[in-house]
Amino acid sequence: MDGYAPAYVAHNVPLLVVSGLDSAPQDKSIAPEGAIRIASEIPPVESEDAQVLLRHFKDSDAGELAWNAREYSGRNKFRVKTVGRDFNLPARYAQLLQSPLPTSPVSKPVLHSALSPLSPDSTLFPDGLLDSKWIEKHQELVPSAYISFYTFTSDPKLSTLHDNQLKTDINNTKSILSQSGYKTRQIVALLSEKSIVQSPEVEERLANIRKATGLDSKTSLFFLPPQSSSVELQAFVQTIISTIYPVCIEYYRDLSKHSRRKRNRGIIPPPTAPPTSGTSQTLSSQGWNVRYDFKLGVFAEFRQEMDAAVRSYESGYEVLLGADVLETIASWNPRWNEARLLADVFAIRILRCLLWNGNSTAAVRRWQSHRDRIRDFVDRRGKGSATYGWEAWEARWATVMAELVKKASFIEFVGFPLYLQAEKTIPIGERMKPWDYLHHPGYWYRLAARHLMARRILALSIPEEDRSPPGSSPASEIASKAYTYDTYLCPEPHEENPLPGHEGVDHSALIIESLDKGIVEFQRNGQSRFLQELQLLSANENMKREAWDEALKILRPLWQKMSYRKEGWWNGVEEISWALRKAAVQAGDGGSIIAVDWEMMNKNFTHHPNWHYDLTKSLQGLEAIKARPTVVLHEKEVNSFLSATFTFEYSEGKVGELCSSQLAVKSSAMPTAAPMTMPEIRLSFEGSMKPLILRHVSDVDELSDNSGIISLSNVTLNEISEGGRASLVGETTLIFRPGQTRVFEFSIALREAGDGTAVSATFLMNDDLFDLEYIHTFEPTNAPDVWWGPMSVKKRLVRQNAAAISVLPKPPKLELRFLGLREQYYTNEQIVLQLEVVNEEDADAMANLDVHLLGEGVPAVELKVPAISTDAEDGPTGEDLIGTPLGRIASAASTIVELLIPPVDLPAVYDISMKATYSLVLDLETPIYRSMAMQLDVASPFEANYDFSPRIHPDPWPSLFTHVEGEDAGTEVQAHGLAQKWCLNARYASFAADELIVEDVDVQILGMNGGIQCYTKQLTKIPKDGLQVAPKSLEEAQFEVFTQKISLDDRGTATLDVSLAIKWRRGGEGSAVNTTILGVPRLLVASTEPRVLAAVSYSTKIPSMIHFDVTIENPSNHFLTFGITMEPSEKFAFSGVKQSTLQLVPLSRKSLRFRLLPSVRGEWIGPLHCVIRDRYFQKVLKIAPTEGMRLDKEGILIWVPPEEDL
Amino acid sequence: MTAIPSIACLGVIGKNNNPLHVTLFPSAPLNAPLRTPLQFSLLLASTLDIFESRSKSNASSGGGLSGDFGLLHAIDERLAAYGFETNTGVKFVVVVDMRGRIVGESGGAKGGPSVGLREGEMKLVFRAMQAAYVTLLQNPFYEPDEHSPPTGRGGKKITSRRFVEDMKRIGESWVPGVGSS
Repeated sequence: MDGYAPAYVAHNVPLLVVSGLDSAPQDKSIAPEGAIRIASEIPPVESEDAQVLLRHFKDSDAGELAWNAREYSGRNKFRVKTVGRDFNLPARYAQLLQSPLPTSPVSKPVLHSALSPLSPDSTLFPDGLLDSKWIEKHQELVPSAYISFYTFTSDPKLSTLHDNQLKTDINNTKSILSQSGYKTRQIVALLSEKSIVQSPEVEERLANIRKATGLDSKTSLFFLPPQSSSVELQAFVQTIISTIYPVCIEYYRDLSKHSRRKRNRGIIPPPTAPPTSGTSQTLSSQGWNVRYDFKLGVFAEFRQEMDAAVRSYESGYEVLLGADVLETIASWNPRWNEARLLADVFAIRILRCLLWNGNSTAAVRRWQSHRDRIRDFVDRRGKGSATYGWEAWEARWATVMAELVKKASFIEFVGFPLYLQAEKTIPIGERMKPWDYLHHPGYWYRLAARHLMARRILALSIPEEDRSPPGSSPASEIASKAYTYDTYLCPEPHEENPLPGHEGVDHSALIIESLDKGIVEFQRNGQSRFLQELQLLSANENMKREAWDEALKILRPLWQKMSYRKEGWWNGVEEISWALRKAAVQAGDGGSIIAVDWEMMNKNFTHHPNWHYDLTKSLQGLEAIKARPTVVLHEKEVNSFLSATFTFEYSEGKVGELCSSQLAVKSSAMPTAAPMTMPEIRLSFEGSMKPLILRHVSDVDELSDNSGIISLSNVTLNEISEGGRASLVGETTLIFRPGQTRVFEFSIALREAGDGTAVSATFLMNDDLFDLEYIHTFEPTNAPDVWWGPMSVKKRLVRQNAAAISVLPKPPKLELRFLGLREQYYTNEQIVLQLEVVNEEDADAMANLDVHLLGEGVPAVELKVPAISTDAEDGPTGEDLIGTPLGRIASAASTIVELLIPPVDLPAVYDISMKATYSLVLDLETPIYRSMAMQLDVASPFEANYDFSPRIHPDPWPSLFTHVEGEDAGTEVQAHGLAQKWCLNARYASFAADELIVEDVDVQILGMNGGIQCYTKQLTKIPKDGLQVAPKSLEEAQFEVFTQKISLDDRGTATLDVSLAIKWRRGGEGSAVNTTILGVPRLLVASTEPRVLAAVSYSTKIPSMIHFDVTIENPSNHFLTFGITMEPSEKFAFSGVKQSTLQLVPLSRKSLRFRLLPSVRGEWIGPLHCVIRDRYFQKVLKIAPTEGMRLDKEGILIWVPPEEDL
Repeated sequence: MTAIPSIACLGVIGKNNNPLHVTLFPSAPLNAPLRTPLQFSLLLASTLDIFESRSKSNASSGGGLSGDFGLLHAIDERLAAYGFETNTGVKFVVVVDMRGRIVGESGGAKGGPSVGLREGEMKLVFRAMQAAYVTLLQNPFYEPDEHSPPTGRGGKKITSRRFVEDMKRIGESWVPGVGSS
């Protein structure tokens, strides 16, 4: 809307002038002649409140709001102008001309408004339609309301004087306003001083002022009470605005009425002076109607009544373009363009009102119909629509729409609607043109840009003779130019397309401006793809005006990020790429040139027959390039003609093996492209693989082989350490011809276990003029991976990712095995395990062995290794390995290691873990591991239980009366106490798995308590060469235990701790004798209690006669009496005491003998009911059996041998 | 003589937003395509923005099950793009030239003086295009994965002669107002 006077196109809002608050110095510019000056003696209010109020008034200015009803329904309703105390109103009527023109003698000249076509001074005189100054007058100069702010004094002494001053001033202003002819409302606002107290007196004063000035207390006189808060101040401003707003609307309604009255009157008033220059024609009555309709529309807009405004504008528009106004103006007449401009303004205002009301489709249609009408008009009456002027106007008209839509800021455009749905007034199902849906401003800017381009084409076709600047060509030509070219709102031909060396229109700049505005809109709407097209256009325009750097600034990011490449719109890619190259050549961006040339080699793109397609020629002869470019391209960034795949032949490999792999590089370059020589290709891997480098060597012989469509080259790799990093290097020819697939096969030695993946191939190219690095990342594709064979035979590899290999650790071929492992190992024996380490590798190995025994209370393991053959050359190897070195084991040989485990006391389960670490002599760097684990169960070979029973000591008891002389302390202590005989019967069972040989069984006395002496005697005899003990068999061993108290006086209890030691060996020859010691429960040997021992003996004289002796011992110091009863039995007859009493002195014993004659043979008889009772304690003494007897529940049993034995 | 809408371009766009097929049709009065193939290509590519954002809003609102996107946008007063997306992500775009064909007064009676388009008038075209595409898919030698590889980048164009002919027939035979209800 640049071409139109701002007042013409701006939206109209009521004007409010606020005076008396702004104390800033006013510009004292001389008021226009005839201006009406409102002045006042009273200085402007100067207080903080005044500043705040001023700010609030300025904030509520509605000049900059978006053009829609939503924004204007808020609190900003006025165009607010602030002045000091003085304000100039424009003169109501034009001054009478001071010209020497003869005034009409008949009548006094009638004065009209200075802007009327009737006033000779006006630009419109005599037949102009409208001047934008008229709108300006109402929008900027003549307020609908004039607010004066005054201080309301608090000083009671001065109040009367002050109030009188106020009255005078208000009345003065009032009279000036009423004399001016304008119906501006006068509003007075009084700001009371801070110290005033609200009182009836104040009310009285206010009433007084009101009375004297005739102001309406509700709408014209405002009073701000003292000490108002900031919120109150704001509310005060709001109150004023909302109160006076209806009044102001009324003001514009009055103006409307005035115009309508004049329109309806239908009489054209005579001009102040008759026209004397140009045509003497005056404005026709139709023209006047256009004027009035326009005014009515503007006043309706002031009132924000858009419907009314549209009606008035439409009526004015119709009249203007009707038969009587525009049709009657000659196209050479400047009034013609003025009228056309007015038509545009009408249309713009109509569009704005339609958009304001949300009639988007109606607006688009109105936009089109205006365009069509004007075109028709220009074609018929003007210079035609095939001129650059017309295209310029079309562009302008599209831009106007874009700006209007933008200014209307539709809330519906938020989000992603690119266009608005038709408004509800349009019937559903009506045939709609797609363009009728209002699209967002970006589309309109794009339309403008297209028209601007069309304009340029037309401008460039202006013949040269028309392009010479005025003054240099004959007048006749200028005249003809005026008839040929439409210069409505656009420059003359000599500026439109200037001759070289002359200033003129920069078409590209105009187009770029329009495109840029569009780009912003499309960007906001997230139309990234549409954007690219506009950016390309913009860049092309920049190139047209040779702004290479600007073009590059647009194209470079566009080229990098465009969606076309990713989505395969090759012609789009191509267009942008060539544009980038063109800009880059001029701007000296070598990198871009190389990148584009690289990409354009791909045969996907259009072939340009004259293009060299040779990267080495890309930068030749380009002087603009200053620095040597280093270009890094990634396969994702360009649509490269080189593609690479990497495959391992197998998905698994083992450490130490060689794995064959192939790098296939396919060139899909243009068939005419030059073969590409790559000095170097680097392959990088992820995981445990070393980088691989292929270097180019030109080999004449190989050239012929490599020219086929598919060529396979075997490459030998050498390991080279560069800068501390080892890499594999191979040399081959690296020439890639168009359409060729080069396959490089190589064997990679796998060194470390783990997964390896080929990540990327980097093609390096170092030309004289540039460095290029193309990085191709291998990514799994849907195309099956292929393994190329010689003669182009290939097989498909069905794998997830053929560029990955999993390297397994080398399988150890060193065997560990135990020799002569026994079924069971026992406690108390030394365990010797023989471990054979067999080298089944093809080469000699240097091995180390590490053995661990795991479990509770693990004994230390000792390894017995045969003497190591320490060759001098093998010296350093194996040192860093864990464990005991085993030395060199020749291939297929073995070495035997003995594991010595010392005897353990307790049965346990141990884990033996063995780990052999070895490396082959051929490949000392790769350690190989072999481990083995075994469970070792150590069990106890024997378990025993014991029977400890008393026996009758054969020796007489010592007497208290025998005295023994004490011996020397140095010699062994002689025991003098009571001696007792016991029998320890140990029954031991073999828990062993194999047959063991028991060599000896012995009782070891571990300790004695209670002052006794003790010795044992083995009763059971063990054969000399040992007793064979079968598994799970029970053996018995009897021991006699003799104990004697050292002192006869000692009556204390004594205990004995003994253990059973079994000496045994395994069945094999020469096996070592082991001793298993079994614990025996503590034995109680001496007591002061009396006891009864039974013994049995068989008569040698009378067969079947059995002697049954009962010995009663009294070891106590008491004289004891025992009752003896022997009950008869069916099984035997007996002789002896049937019932008796026995008295025993202290420390004595006595035997009673019963002779039994059993009635049975070969049978246990009993139980013998022999009861011995301590008379004193009334306690039955238990009879303890000795050898040859058994103890039953009820008593003692005696064996009667069978007849033949007796 | 009235200018009525005609189809200026039919585009089939693959799942990876890659062009599968583009047919251009001549427009009156020059009887030549209104724009260059490149311009039509870029125009088709620009509709992808709209497909993308509409699918997003459809996915959230649950609408758009039919796949008919209706008017995508009007590029200017003459050209407007209509879109359809199959449930496998293949998109059909019809670019209509609003003044693509000149008919005599007799033919113009059908559309009336103001020739616009009703909503859903493109349904028939899309149905025909989809049918042609389904026929193409039934061809065992047509491998959809080659045309829209799962890697998400690019793809081959459709070369089937039958499909090309189908497209040509669809574009040429369409006249506004037929089949619209």
